[in-house]
Amino acid sequence: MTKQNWLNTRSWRAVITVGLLLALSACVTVNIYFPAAAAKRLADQVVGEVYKAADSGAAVVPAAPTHSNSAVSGPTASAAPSAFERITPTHVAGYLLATAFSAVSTTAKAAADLNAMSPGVQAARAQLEAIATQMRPYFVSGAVGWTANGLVAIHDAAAVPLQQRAALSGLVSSNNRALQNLYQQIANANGHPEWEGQIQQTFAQTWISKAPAGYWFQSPSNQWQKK
Amino acid sequence: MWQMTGFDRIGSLLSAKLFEVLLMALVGGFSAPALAQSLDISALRVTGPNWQIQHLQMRLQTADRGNDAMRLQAGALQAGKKQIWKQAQIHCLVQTQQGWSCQHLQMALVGTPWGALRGAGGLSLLRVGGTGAIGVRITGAQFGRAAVQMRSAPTGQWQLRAHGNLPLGGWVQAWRLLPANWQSAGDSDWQVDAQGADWTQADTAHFLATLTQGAFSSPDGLQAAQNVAAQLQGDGQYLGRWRGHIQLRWTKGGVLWSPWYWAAPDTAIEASSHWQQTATSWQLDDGRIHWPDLGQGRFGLIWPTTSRPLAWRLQDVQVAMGPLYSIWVKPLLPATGLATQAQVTGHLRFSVAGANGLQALQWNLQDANFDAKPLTVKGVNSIGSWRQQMKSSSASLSWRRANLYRIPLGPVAAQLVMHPGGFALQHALGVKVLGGTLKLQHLTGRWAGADSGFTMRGSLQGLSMTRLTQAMHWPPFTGTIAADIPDLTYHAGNIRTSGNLSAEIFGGRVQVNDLKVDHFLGVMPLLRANMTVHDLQLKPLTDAFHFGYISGVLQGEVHHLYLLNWSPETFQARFATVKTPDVSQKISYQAVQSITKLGGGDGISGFFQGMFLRLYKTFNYAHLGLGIDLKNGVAELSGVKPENGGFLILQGQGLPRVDIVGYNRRVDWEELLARLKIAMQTGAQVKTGE
Repeated sequence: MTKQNWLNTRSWRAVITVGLLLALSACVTVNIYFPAAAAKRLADQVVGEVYKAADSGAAVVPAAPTHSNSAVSGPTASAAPSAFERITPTHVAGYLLATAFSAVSTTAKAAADLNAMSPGVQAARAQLEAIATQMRPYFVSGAVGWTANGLVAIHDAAAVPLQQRAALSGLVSSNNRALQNLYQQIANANGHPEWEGQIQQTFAQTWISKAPAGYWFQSPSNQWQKK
Repeated sequence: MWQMTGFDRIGSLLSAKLFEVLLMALVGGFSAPALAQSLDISALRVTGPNWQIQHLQMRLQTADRGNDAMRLQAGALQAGKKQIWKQAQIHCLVQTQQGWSCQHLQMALVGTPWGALRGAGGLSLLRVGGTGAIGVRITGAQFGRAAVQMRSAPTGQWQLRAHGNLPLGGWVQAWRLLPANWQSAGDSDWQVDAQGADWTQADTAHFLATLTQGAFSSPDGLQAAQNVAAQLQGDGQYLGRWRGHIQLRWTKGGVLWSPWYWAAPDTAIEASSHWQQTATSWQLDDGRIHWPDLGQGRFGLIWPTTSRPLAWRLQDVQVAMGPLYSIWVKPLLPATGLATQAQVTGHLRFSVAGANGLQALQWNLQDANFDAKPLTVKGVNSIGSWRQQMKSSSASLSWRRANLYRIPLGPVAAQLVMHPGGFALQHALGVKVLGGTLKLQHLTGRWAGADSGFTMRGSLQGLSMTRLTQAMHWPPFTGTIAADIPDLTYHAGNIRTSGNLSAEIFGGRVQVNDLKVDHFLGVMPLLRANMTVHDLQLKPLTDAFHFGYISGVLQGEVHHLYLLNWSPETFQARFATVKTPDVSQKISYQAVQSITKLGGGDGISGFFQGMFLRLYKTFNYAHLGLGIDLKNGVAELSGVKPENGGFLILQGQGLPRVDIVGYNRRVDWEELLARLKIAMQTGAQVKTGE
């Protein structure tokens, strides 16, 4: 190989490398990613509570979140010095430290989690849990099952006696309205109404994966299967 | 061979005379010495009153040793619009020794409503005296079995008795009672007796059918019946047209017609009616139905043979409201909310008619009670009428007392104007509520469509805050509320307002904007609103309870207020006093104590500090204000301005001067409410002399 050739080869490589870098840097893609992991965690929590409410036979009103935050006075706060009185520098320092810590940690958590505590979400969850109690016998008997898109459909109405079957259509409709409302409220609470479909799909998998044995569900190809 | 073509109507003329001639010829012919002979008769079409048979072929054939035979072949037999069979073949051995008889009859029918049928039996016609008899047994896979006995007199009079056993599927298929892809099962025994003066026409008939173990199911299982036992019997008489009487008794089993389910009670449900055939329809007239535990009434039905819609009516129906609600009304209501737990009592008398939807309704509701927490209504009476074709009619509605979310509503007597799409209040209506009056200037209801539901507009006057807070188990307040209620709509369980709801309270005014309540009477109501508070007098606000005395004028606003199940879930509130001429700004020692307790402490600490302040009943202040941002169960507090790393809630003025500064900005909301309750319930009220 001659020196000229070597130079040519080196310079061409350099040109190609620079060109590739320029090309790559020119391909700027802006993505807003759906927080799939956070949605999965939220779905696990909500689905678990709905199944629990259905098992207990009574709707469980979602409790307000309890923050393990030292800046928030809890039930024992009455034993502490009055917050409305001047307090010692130590208290002020402790409070400021706790507030600063909570401010940082809250910010980090907000970035990682989906907000499921908006009043709309809580109302939707309560509605769903109330219906879950009524839906449970139909799931257990196989009269209804989960669809592949996170809703409920009639699988085998004949699995329950005639008298129970009368309410089946209305319950399935009400349950699906409550489910759609839940997905929409979660998307709205997080400022992304367009996430509803993805949240619904995440919940769809969780309803099935957390379902008790014997529940029916539809595969992605819409075939009914028994868990 | 005789060939008859193009006969449009042979009818009764053909009947007696032609067959008599044929039989005479046959009997005569067959009496001849034994040479095989045959006689063929064919007709392209033979018609009678309301029936027609095509391609009729009959062969009579003599044979050796007396085995003379008749073979009859026929094409489609049509009775009215119904095809009785598509093809028929009948074969028998003909005996002519004593009269004329057709023995060892074999019959095969194709294309009947029950599919293929086979029959066996005998037929005899006695020439002497002209009497005749037919006895046939018919079987078929879907048909079950039947035996038919028929006798005729020389005058042409005849009697028929037929009985058999037919699977329910046979009836369903024959009369197309259910769609083809539905399943059915069950047995029925049936019997028909009929007679006539002329073989072409029955004059009277009686029938009885008993169904046992009856069942059917739609493919999705949402329309079904199980274990049904019922009996249908009736009679008919032909006087130019058919008319008669029919009776149905349902004794056992259940029927699901989603969303309704009806179960036969211990005592049979009975319905009976006169029936008649007209030129354009079949009718049920003067029907009567008795449904044990529910009620009884009269009914009628017109089933047109033309394309006109089926028309029905129920008249003078008297029912108990409890079973009416649970059996007929509740299944139509949403699965959650009021409907699921409602208990209804009372009596209703009504008439209703329909054809292509509801056409008319008259009702008289007496002493009904509706109990479905959070709404209970007692002593409800209502009389009225409604017609789809009538522009307006009148109705009345009254109740003795009611409760909505623990708020008692006084007696009501309303006059309503009914119109095809709904109703409207005829005159303004006043309802006594918590010592005041809810005046409804406008109230309308619409049955269907996108704007179905209720719309109201009115005002509230003199509502007692004391009684309201007692009823709702809220912290006690005094004074009265007067409010203007803008157009407020209730649709599909949700409440919306199109304007600002304005209430006068504690000498000031509270405006509620953008009010929305989802699932108002449902499991978990969610209220959303924004509020502004103008010129609220603190003195009457703090006068009545043990929080302490504060005077001044308060302004404020509450944004993004969310009440979930009527408890605050989220809001951003700012309240602050504003200096107002002729209104002092003073706060009592006890109020200072209460505010500090609200912050989580034990009140004013320090022996000398407390002793010194106790010397004074009240203190002047320059500013008093508090901000609360509630979110996720935590209240974020703020004051009138920042102060030494905290926030200033009370800025004193003059001497002695008291400032209150808060440092704990974040407080658990439930804890804050508990402290407020304690602060308001403890301590002696300070008399200020103002």
